[in-house]
Amino acid sequence: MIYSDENLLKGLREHKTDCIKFMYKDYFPLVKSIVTKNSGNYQDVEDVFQDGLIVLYQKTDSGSLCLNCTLKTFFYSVCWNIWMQRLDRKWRLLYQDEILNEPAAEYENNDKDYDEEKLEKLRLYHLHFLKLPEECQKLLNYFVNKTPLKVIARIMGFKDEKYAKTRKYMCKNMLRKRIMNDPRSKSFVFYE
Amino acid sequence: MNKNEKIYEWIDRFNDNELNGEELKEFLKLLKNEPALRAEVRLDKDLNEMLQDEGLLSLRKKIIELRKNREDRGIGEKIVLLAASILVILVLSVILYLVIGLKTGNNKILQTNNSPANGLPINKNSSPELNNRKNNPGKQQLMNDTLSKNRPGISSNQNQSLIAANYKPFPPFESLIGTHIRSEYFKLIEPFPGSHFKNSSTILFSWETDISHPLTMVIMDNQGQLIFDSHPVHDKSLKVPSGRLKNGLFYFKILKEDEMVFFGKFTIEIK
Repeated sequence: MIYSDENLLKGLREHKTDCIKFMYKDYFPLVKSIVTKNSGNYQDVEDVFQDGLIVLYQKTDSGSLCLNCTLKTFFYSVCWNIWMQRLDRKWRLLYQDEILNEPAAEYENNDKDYDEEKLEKLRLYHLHFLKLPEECQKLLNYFVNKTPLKVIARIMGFKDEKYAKTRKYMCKNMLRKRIMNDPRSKSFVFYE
Repeated sequence: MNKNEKIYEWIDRFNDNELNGEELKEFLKLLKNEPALRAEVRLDKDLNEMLQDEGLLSLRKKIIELRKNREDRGIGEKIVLLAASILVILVLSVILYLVIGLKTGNNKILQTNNSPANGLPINKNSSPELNNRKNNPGKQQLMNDTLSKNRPGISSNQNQSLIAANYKPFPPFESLIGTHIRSEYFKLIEPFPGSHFKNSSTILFSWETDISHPLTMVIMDNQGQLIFDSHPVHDKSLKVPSGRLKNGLFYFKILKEDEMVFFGKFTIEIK
């Protein structure tokens, strides 16, 4: 099945599996070409593709997306910028001393709505959150949704509200520790 | 609650703006002195923001699931491809083995047929033609060639079968071999019993007898089919050109009118 740009954006906003599958099939090769031709590996391709989808989703969801080209071209441009920014950041991390005074490279698309470092951070947070035990994920979601403690304790089968809160601290702490122990987080967690 | 648990709680409550009074003062003091704690507080704040956007989190979950499926499918496809390759190699090997095996087998058969010096014992009960073939491969080849020329479309093996069939004894006639009339004197002088003739020679039949009545002679093939019927013979001999006969086993009968005087057999061989 072939989707129009509008249908794809609508499907992405609604998390429709078929639309995401279609984008994987149709758009992934573009990203692969950008990344692998510019010093990236397969993992980088996957990461950039995911980040591109997230940017598209955020823009669609916030209503800030204004297409003056095809969605594919726009997606290509987003992924190109993400990868170039990432390469630049990695380069700077590797050779901090030598290029300390050089300004960061500017790219064609000066869209400041997305920052590749933020995207990477978000991806890492999501990954670690989704690796938490199911109970922790549920509990943290309840807290975020401001579900009353009494209800949380009842749903989760905790003895009282205090224990529910302690469990929340534990789960949050588990998530923080996992992220801080991930070597990929070093660049943005300890930035002092 | 130990000190660590207390700190975790404070981090969380600090970002939720629930920390106040002495606890807040103490926490701020800790923050001032501990960069790691500051990093943790910032991270916690980030995580709170991340958790707020449930839609994004749910999209990420879906993307990761799809990616995993893609990878699993990729591995599955690789396994299927590997299995298919192994199967193809296996099938090709079997086919190759069979082809080579058959060729080798055919060569062995040819060697057996063409070479008497292959060490294999010769079957003493086989027909003279078969023995001849074993003993004279050159002649056999010639015979095969001749037969192939004579019967296009018939393979060498088929010809060999046909030749063998020509020498197959005909049971109803076999029991009559050597039978002769008892009421009158008759003795066959030629051919000798079990004689072999070349198909280019003339077969001479001669006899001694007291029978004054002209005799006739008929020749049948090993299927019992009448091949030759002579005119009445007044002499005591008869010449039959064997060129008129194909190679094989033949039976002959000497008759006095319709009464059988003698019954015998001979064979014709290719030159």
